[in-house]
Amino acid sequence: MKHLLIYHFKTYLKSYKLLLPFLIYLSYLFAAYGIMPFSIVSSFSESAGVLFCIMAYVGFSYSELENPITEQLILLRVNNDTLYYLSRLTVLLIIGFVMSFLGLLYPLVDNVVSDYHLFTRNLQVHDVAIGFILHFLMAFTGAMIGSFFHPRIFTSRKIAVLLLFFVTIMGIAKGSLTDLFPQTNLITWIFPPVFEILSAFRGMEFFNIPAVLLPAFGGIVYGFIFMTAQIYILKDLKF
Amino acid sequence: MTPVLISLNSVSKYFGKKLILNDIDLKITPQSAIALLGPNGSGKSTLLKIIAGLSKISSGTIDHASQLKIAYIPENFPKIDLNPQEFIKSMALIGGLSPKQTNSRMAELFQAFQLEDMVDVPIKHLSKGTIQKVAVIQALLTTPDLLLLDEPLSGQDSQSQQLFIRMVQKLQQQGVATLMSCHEPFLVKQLAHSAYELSDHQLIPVDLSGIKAIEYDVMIFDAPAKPALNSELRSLIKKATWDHNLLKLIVCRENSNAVLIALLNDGFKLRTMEGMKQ
Repeated sequence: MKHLLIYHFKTYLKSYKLLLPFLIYLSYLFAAYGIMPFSIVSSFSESAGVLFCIMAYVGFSYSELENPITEQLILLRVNNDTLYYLSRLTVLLIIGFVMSFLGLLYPLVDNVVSDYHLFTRNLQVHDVAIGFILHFLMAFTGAMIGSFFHPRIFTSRKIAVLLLFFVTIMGIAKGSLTDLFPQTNLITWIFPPVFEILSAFRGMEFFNIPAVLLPAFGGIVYGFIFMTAQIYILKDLKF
Repeated sequence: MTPVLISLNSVSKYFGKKLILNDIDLKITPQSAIALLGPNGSGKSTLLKIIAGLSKISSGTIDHASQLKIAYIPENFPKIDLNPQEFIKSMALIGGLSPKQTNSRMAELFQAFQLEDMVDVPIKHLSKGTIQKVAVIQALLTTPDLLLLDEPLSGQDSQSQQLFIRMVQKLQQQGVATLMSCHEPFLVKQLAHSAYELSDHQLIPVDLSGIKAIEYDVMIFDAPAKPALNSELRSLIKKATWDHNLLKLIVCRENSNAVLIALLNDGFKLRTMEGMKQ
């Protein structure tokens, strides 16, 4: 597993495909925390929502990068297809972890630099802990959705890009849609529960754990469904 | 009784509605050295992938020996961002070699295939022949039970070809089964004990004694002031390349005398001539 992870990391980093999403997220953080003061809950929620979109792109570009020939050579060496695909997704989770860390580190440093006036109240340890979990949950869900649009699952790149864009946007915008057309609630549940998770903190000054438990559980289940489905389909499709 | 590594029983394969392989039966034992012949698109690569377990079958069954180690040399190795050292090292470590074994085996193979000067160059910047060497090296890192070779010599220089043949012959002596798709008769002669042609989606046994390695002569001439090769002469020549006033010809040996006489009569002067196998 260790050598598989190193191989996947090397392959991805050498492609420089991570650079663009990394810079976009950094630019977002720079712009978003530019004017003080902020509500901790709403700024962390917004940042986690942006990270969801960015990790969906990262997951997609990561899947696109996979070369079928090298994939075949490694599968023959590993002799365990599930381990191979899990190793690939683990790399995405590590990237998501680092991006989540960045999403928290930037405002923390900015807060110190601004003499602790970045936020409307004092930042507490549990704000940082829940903020990180929120970011990582969004990163996980986004990465699993993005990587699901693998070239062997969706052979048409055009359709894959459009579907991914649609699913990602709907995950965030489905709340507004159901506000306007309540009957769409019957179908919008199939999209990632990003809106449900982020809206659980709407208008709150402090993170309310009980309010977010159910949507967060939904996010984890959603991500795991995409992860399991992806591994199953790739193993079944072969080459 | 000889153990069977892989047994294909009435295997058929469709891509969509297109039939690729029909009712294929094949047994591979540790001593097998099989060549698969047939035109491009006849299904050779697909059959190799099916045997490797990398492609699904539409009908039939496949029986594998347990814990079977299969190495595979693909026809077209991709132009990836990693360099040969990074890629081969990863393959060795993923395959279970220790770091020490990895380093010594890598150094040995890079030296043998004269790749030492290019180990730090990204594979995407290497020539086709050099990339193919990387594909061969990754398969030779460890000793597999079955080596699958898909047009293994495409683009390689003759020195690497000879080295590759010796290495595969050594593996065969160690009991490694080989299954190879190729077009080169000399390769079939040297590396296969039996051969099949994929024709009309089925495997047809080929008599190896009927396959002859074609021998060629390479001739280099000084050309006269106004060189011209008539069409009759051109039909006897396999390949002609010009370098200023030097003409290099590759000619099938049975036509060598006729070509030589014709060119000498036309005022060409022979500089060198040597034999080669295809």
